[in-house]
Parts: sequence; C-alpha cells; structure tokens
Amino acid sequence: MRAMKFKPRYLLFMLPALGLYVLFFIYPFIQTAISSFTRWNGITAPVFIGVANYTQLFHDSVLMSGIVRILIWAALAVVIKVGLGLVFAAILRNRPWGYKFFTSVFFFPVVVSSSAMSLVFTLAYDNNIGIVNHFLKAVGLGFLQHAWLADPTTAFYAAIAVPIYQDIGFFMVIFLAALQDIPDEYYEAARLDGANPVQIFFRLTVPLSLGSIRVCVVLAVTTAFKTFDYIFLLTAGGPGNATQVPATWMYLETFQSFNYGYGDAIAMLIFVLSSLASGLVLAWGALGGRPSRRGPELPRTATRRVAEAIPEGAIA
Amino acid sequence: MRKRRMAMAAAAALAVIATAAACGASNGSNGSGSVTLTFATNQITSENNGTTPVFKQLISEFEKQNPGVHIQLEEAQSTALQPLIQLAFASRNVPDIFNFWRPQPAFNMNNYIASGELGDLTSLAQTPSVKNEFASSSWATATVNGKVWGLPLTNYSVPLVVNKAVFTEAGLPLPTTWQLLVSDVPKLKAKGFIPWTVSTESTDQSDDRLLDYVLDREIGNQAALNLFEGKGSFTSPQVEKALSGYFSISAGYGPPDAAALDDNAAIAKYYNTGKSAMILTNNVYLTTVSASAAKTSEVIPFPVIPGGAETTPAMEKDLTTLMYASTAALANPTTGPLVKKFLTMATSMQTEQSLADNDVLAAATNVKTDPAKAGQLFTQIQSTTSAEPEDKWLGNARTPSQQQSFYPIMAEQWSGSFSVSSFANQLESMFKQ
Repeated sequence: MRAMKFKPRYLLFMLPALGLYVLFFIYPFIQTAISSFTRWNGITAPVFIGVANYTQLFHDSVLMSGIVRILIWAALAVVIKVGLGLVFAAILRNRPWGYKFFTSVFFFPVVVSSSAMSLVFTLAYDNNIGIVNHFLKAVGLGFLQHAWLADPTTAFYAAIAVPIYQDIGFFMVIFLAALQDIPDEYYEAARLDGANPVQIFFRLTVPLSLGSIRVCVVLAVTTAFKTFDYIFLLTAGGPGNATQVPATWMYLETFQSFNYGYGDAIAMLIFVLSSLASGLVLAWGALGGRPSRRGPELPRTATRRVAEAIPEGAIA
Repeated sequence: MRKRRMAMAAAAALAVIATAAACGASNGSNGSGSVTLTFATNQITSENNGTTPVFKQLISEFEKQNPGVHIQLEEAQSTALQPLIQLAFASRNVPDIFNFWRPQPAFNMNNYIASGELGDLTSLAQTPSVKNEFASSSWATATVNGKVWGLPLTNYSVPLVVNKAVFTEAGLPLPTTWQLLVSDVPKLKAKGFIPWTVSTESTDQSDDRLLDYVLDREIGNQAALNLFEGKGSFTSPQVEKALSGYFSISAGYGPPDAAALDDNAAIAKYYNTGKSAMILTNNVYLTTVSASAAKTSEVIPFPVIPGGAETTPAMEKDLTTLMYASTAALANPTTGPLVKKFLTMATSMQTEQSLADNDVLAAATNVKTDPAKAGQLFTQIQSTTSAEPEDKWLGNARTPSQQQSFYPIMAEQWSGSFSVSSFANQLESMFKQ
C-alpha cells in the first residue's frame, strides 16, 4: 500500500489540536514563567523582583526536603512499578492458566480514580479499623501496628505506596504489548540451551524490551516528580511537613499563602527537574544504542548457529 | 466538490463556536426576564451542619418572594471556600453574594478590599433594623477603614467541653482549676484515655486553641496578640513559663493519628466512643458530638493560671461569618436591590433565631436559645459564650503565609518533636520583627 503524501492543506486539520495545545499548555507555561519573576498575591498587580523567587528556592528547607522525597519516590517507582510490571508481563506473556483473569486483576486498580483510591487507603491505614493493622496482627506482626499516615517516619512511604501499587498494572500492560514483539524462537532457543527462567528474563526479556523500559522509566520518574493528588488527599503534606513534595508545596504557597510568584517558580523547578530526568534517561538510551533485532550476544551454540542462519526479517 | 465540503465544515464549526459563546452564563438578567444571583457559600454542606437547613429555607423563601429570581449556588466545604473566593477575586469574577470570614489580613481580606471588587455595605449597615440587631463589637469587626464590608451572620467560640463519664471512670475530678488540669492530663493518659480530642491535620488548622488559651491566661490576650504580630518575644521568661505549662498538658496527649484526622473525625472516633476526655475547638465542630456523648458532656471555663495576667476566665470568641456582596452586583440596577434584600433576609432576626435553634452561635444580640430545640450541650455553649468576656483569636495577627508555616509546627509540637526552648526559638524566628 502506497504511503500518503503530505499536503499542506493537511495542516488545517492539525490547527484545532494545535490551538488547544497552545491555549492550554504553551500560553499558561509562558505566563507561569513570566510570573515566576514577580511578587504577586493574585489580586493586585504583580511586581517584578528578578530572580529573587529562584534564590528563595534554595533557602526553602521544606522544598529541599520535598525534592529529596520525590527522588526517593522516583527510585522506588522505577524499581517497583517498572520492575514488577515487567516481571508480571514476562509471566503473563506465556499465557499461563488464568492469564486473562490475572491481567484484569492487575490492571483494575489503574482505572480507579486517585481520590477513590486515596479514600480506600485512608481507611486501610487507620490505626483502629484499618485492614493493614488487622493483617499485621493476624500474621503475628502486631508489634508493627501503626498510625501509618500520622507518623512522620512512615507517612511518606505509606502515601506513595498507593500510587506505586496502582500503576503496576499500567506498566504491565505496556510491557505485555512490548513482549509480544519478541519472537518465540528466541525463548525456545534459550530453553534449548539450558537457560533457566531467571537467565531468560535478564538475558533475553530485559535487553529486548529496553526501548519500552526506557519509556516506562521516564513515565515513572516524571509521575513521581509532579504527582499532587495522592499526597494532598492522604496527608495534605503532613504530619507537619513530613510528606510535603514540590507539587503540594507549590499549591500551598500559591493558594494558601497567596505567593503566586514563588509558587510559579516552584512549578518551573518541577518542570526543569522532570525535563532533566527525561533527558538523562533518553540520553542513556541514545548512548547505549538500539538492541539488535537478532537478540543479545548468546553463546555460540548450535542454537545460535541456527539463529544466525535465518535471514533478518524472515521471521515476522 | 471538495472545496464545497471544506466550506460547509468551516461554516458548521463557526456555528458551533457562536452558539457556545451565546450560551455563556452571565450574572444578572439572562435575557428571558429572569434574574440569576450567584451565591458562594460553605453554609450548605454535606456534614451535620446546623446552617444547612437554615440556608436552604432562606433561599427557598427568597425565591418565593421574588418570582423570576434564581439563586445559583457555588458550594464549598468548610475552608475550601477560601481558595474559591481567592480565585474569584483573582479572575475578577466575584460572586454576587458570598459568606466569608472576618475582613482581616489572616483571611486575605485586606487584598480583596483593596481590589475594589468587594462591595461597600456601609449604607445598608446603617439601616436601623440591621444596625440594632448586632453588638457594637460585631460592627467593629466588620468595619475596616471606616467602612462596613460585611453583615454579621454567626459567631464562634472555643468552649472547653469535658466528658464527665470519662473523668468518673478514670476516678479524676473535673479540671476546674489549673492545678487539676495539669494533674488530670497525664493521669488520664496513664489510665488509657486520650486527654485531648485534637486534630493536627494541616488542612484543619485548629490545633492552636490550647496554646492560645494558655498564652492568654498567662500574659493576657493583647500581649499574646503582640507576640504573633512580632512585637514581643517568645523567648522571654514569662512566655517560656507559659510554654512550659502548655507543654505539660499538650505534647503527646492527643490521639495517635491526630495528623490523619480532621476535627469532626477525631470527635466521632474518640470523643463519641468514650476514649477521649476533652474537646477544645471551634464550636462549629461540636455538632459532631453524638447525643449520647452530649448527655455526659459539660462546658466548663478554661481555668485561670495562678499568677497569670487573666484572673477571670475569658473565652476565645468573635464574629466568624459575615455576608458579603460584590461591587458589580451592588452597582447593577437589576441585581443591586435584590442583593441587598437577600443580605437583609440572611441576617434578619428570623434567620438568626433559626440558626440558634440549629445549634449555631448566631451573631444577633437578642437571640433566645430554646433548650428543647438546641439541645443541652449547645445551650451550655451559648450561655458560657455570652457570660465570659472575649479573647481574640491569636491567629488574627498572623498572615496567610505565616499560618502555612505555623500549623505544621503545631502538629510537630503535639507529636512531641520540640522541647520548650526549641519551640520558643522556632516561633521567635517565625514571628519576631
């Protein structure tokens, strides 16, 4: 089938989407950037103050602690969301018994709203009636019972456990689609060569899904950097400021303290951090090169000789 | 053919856009002879709030008296009204009518007044039927720079409510003196009870009441206000003595999950189940006290501190909710008279009496509380509030930015994260000018 030739009039059909993009992203972004150089309470006229807001960022201990928290969050999100998503996808790729059921079960939390999920976990974490404490007691770990969201040492990890848990199914589905592209012959060849499931996973599945892993890492990291709703609904940044992250701090500075200019500076910081993280991951991908469609470097066994004999593209 | 199709598609798109623009809502007349007034409020809520039935009845009555006039509600829950109004002023799209807190900097009202979008109600306030309904102190609170910006609606107070059954079960006397309070609190905890039903959740912002009372008792209300205005020192010996007394009855004596509960949830979970002994919070939350818990509850004066500046009990209380209007609505010849009529009805003696019958502290001076309608607990609150002299809320002196930093520190203090001196130093660095 012949590919469509681009014609200038096709741009007309892009104009509405482009217009919406400019109106709801580009314009507010530029306004935010400009406002970040002002002192503004949202009511009276803004006053230009240069880079004072950006200087204040580095003296804001709550914000700096929040940045450390989102870095921890990003690391845990990558390990758990991406890692577990890939593991579940690798298991379900082989379509074991009940794979449709398990795919649905793992994906179900993804379709639940963040507010509903936060409400459920607020109750689950309750120190008296919460299922978490009841479960711990039931398995003989009653000494670990806690006011999970009220204790500064556990509140942050209890709060981020919710979005991390909720998104595992989303990443699993992405990896499931990616793993379908890996020819079954590679797995057969690996099994014939005596590779166990762990070796197959690390030496075959992971290298051949690096592209998807990169995308998922970027998603996991940028989500951790900008998520607001779970923290706000579960802890509102408390107890004290123990769970404040840049997104919630930005909200409080803007809408509770009426420091619009400073809040906008925090928003720009979140943008820069997310862009940096995305750039680093994509650069890692560019430096590492694309994985060969022939697969990773396998030992020169009979199976590999057979694999090399098959021309590229011969297997769809 | 292709050009005709593209022209028809463009014309259809233009028609849709034009229709959408024509259908945009606007205040005042909507072209068919009927009038819509926007009313932003947190008085109509999903919680067990005594103002909800009163305001629903008010709106229904107003619309019946003014056929063709429709009240369009913009509802918010509790303090969620604050960002709603903030955005309204920022976007120059202020509701025709709204209720809000006192016209003080703590609520950003100074900027709303400066914007010119907040309606001047001085002439309406001078109407004898309106003026004589409220005390001069209420009008003083409603007046800024010689102009009245809001009509008084409700008061608030912070009564000390104790559960007598808990004290009896613990074998302890009621904390009617400072010595008894200092003695009872740790003993209550030792016997497995939670002394204070307090919320330290950041969005609730109500865990400073005990600190307010102790500072007021020790150094006096004006001196305490001066502290938060930066005119005093938190590290002075007298203030540190007060803080020491405060710490002896606060840190570690709230619920273990206080940071995860708002006031209503804390009362429902601990006070109503007989697990906690005392409540010291805004009376608006006391409607959550169950009927059975109310039967064993008593309102007692917060005790004076021997040697302190206040020698007779005073209560933290003030005007809390006022009715406001936008400048645009007042100036509009169609909506102006209707807005004034609604404001007058909302603050009339009839409405004030209805509020009192629904366990709300009405601002009007001649409201009678009927114990049969209001309940025994609210009757006690009303009589104690009327009897005791007034202490202003110490937060009046704090800016919104300071509030945002202050409440997380209070939450940490309740959990035992500070010593007296580190807490004093923290407040000193935050407020001292």
